Amino acid sequence: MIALELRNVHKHYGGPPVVQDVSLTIERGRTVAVIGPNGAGKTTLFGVMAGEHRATGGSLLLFGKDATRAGAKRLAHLGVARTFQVARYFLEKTVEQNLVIARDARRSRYRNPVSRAPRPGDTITAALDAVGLQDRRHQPSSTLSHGDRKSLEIAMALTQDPAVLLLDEPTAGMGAEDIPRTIRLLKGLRESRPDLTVVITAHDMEVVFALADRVVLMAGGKVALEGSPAAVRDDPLTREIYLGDSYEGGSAA
Amino acid sequence: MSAPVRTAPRRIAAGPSILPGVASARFDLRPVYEPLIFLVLTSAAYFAMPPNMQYILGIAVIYALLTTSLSVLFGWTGTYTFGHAAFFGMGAYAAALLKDQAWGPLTFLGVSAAVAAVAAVVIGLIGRRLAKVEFAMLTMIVGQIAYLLTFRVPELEGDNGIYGIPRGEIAGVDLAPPETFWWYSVIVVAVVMGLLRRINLSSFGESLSAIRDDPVKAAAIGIPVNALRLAAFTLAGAVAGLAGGLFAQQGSIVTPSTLSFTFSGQIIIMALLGGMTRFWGPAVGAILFQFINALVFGNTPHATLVLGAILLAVVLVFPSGVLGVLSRLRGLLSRGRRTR
Amino acid sequence: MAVISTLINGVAYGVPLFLVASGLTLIYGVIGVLNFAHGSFFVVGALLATTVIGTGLPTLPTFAVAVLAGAAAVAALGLVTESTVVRRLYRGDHITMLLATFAVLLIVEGVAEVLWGTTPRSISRPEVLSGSTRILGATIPLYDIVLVVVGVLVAAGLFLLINKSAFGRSVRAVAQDSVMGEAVGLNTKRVMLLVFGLGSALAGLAGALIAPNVSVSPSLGHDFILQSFAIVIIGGLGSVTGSLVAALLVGVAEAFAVAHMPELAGFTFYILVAVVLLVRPRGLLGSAKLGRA
Repeated sequence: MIALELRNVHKHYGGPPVVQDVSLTIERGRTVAVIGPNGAGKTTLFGVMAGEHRATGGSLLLFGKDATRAGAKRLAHLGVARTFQVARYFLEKTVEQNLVIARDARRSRYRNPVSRAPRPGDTITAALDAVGLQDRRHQPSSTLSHGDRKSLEIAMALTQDPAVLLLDEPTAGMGAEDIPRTIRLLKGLRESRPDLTVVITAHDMEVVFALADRVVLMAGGKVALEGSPAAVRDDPLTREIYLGDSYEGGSAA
Repeated sequence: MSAPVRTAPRRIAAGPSILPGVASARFDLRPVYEPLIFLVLTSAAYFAMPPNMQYILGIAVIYALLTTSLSVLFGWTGTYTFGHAAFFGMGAYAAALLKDQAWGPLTFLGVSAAVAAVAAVVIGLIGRRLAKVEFAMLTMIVGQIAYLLTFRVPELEGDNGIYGIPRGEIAGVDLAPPETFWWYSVIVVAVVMGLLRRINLSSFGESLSAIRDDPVKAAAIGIPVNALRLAAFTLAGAVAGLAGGLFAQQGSIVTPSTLSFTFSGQIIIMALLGGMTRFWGPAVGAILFQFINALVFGNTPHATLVLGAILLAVVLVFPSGVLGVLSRLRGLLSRGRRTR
Repeated sequence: MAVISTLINGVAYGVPLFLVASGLTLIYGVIGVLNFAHGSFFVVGALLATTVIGTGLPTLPTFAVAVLAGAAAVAALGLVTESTVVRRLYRGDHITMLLATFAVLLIVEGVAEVLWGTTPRSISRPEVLSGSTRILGATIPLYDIVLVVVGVLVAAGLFLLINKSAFGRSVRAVAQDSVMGEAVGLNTKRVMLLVFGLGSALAGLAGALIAPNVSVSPSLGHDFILQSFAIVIIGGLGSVTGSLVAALLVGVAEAFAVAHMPELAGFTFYILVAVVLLVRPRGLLGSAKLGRA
């Protein structure tokens, strides 16, 4: 079954296109990495997949249904959870409150002006354990380190029990000891949730090779190459694209 | 939307619950005892005061409700408005235009709230696609239109205002004497403040604060940002309208200044003075401001100057307002023993 | 021809609005500050002109001196405001900035009340410009023609300054991204200061030029700031060209309302704003980039 499909997606912000004619088919249960140099259009494409940006052309299908004009909120209700390149969370709340909100945002009582604010439960504890933030549970989220903020965002996505997980640079800014843990976490997630579809953008090739079934290389807003991680790595085009740019993600090894 | 239906207080985690072990969670009593404290403190002050001060306090408690309604937007939701006086004025004018109806005073308040709520829905829908600053400008412009209309529509009597709004009676008790009216208005204000506090602490209030912190993230986790913003705008409009109705009953006259841009600015200044990061900040700010206004610079020709200086000081020096400063002082005094 | 005269009336009405709004939108576009105090700057320009000119019938040189003095003094006021208040808040959010500049509006207005009192003042147009002329059968006051000429000069000057000069290049760079501007060696602070001063000077200039047409009192700023905001929103936040188009549109609409639909006079601004916000939330020429919020 196809979880996520892009058909000839275009996106521009009044100027030249940032994403042009991108078509992708992502099967359920797969993990796909979108890579490419800075400015290749990865984050914009991501925004389109998550409904944050509306495609100016083409269409987006979620489990076979058209979701081009659904918008971020609707997609979240349809089971898409995402993280942002620069972690976004509710900085006036504690770590735990962030997770409670993420878990409950799609429930109708979250619009109820007299229902009591809900309590944390097992889901929250499990998510905290998974990302290693147990000790920071009651800390104001604004006091977290850069890497912990990324972890918090992943935990928020986990509490949403997603069908599709979109991770924009999940390890960017994390410390050396956090990256392997995050990779382990995402690997574990794939085993425990075999039908979970994951899309990752990453600079860090270690992450890509550890997790991805398939790699999509973007350049200049287009899909330049698509295939297995090894095939993309060994293609001369990849080298060409990265050498022509200030690539900071280390060697593609 | 204006007066949420109260559900049975003991209903905890109804329906399929994924929250084990919270059935014993106690009901939050802050929406009950905080307004009671407010009522007792202000009433004690009221009866200890000379009549001219009583008059000021009478207005100040109505403004306390008004500034709290502003805080629903500024403080809770992160939606900015520069035309909040318009809702207050609409509520007041609604009461004034209908003054000949043989309704009870509470019905008038309901009508005032409803009129302002309808206006808020319309404005909220018009502005639903706007970014923050543009939305603030829209509210300012709508406020100005409302203000200009009072001079254009003959029935609104322009600068003369509308006189003779009755206070009416409840259960045979005539509200005309100042002390009776004090009890009426302070009880109305306390009850509505209690309702607002309940909403503030609810999951709805929690969602609003998520929108305030980061609307993009809020949408990404599935919070219906636009719908909740509209709901908050309507709630704020309704409460401001109710405050306007109460104000009309109190003074028995309504003038265009209740909807002016200057007054909108003043509402913001009052709320900021108390601090909008706390529920009771704007109410404290309103009362404080009214007394500063009356005692310190009510009679100088430099009122505008002093007003500007207060606002600048608040914005630059203590953005969390008087309550923020107080809690910081308390924190300094009892360092080490942190209580929330 | 009544239509021509209404049209020219409208343009003459719109040009001063453009002068006020252009400074406002310039400052917003470059610095990202919606400056409430702009309204009070405008009034200070007008009040200074009344002081320089006094009650008599001014000669052209006196009038020119009054206008330039208004612009210069208000530019200085803008520089002081930027370096004492606005600069401290660049990293803050929009709303803090709005409130701070609103405070400056109140303070400047309050000081103006102390200096000039609250009684409205009025001044005469310079002697040589007090007459009128006939164009295509319509009677047009000479002073209105002067306003239109000044408006054209300011619009052209701003266009050249922003698009053709070295200063303009750094202004555009800062408008794009102030952090990057700094990284490539621009003195961002200075650019912002100068833009604020320039925008303020335009407010002072507008105030002094409008002074003969209105009765001037310290509270005049409220009306004009609201109308200028309306223009800036219609034109698109940050777009000087947009303000020009919007000001002319509003001016002409208002003149037609006065002539043909008096019950709408005074409301055309607000009606146009509502329509524009409904149809094009970013304004006629607003760009998504500068309209960040």
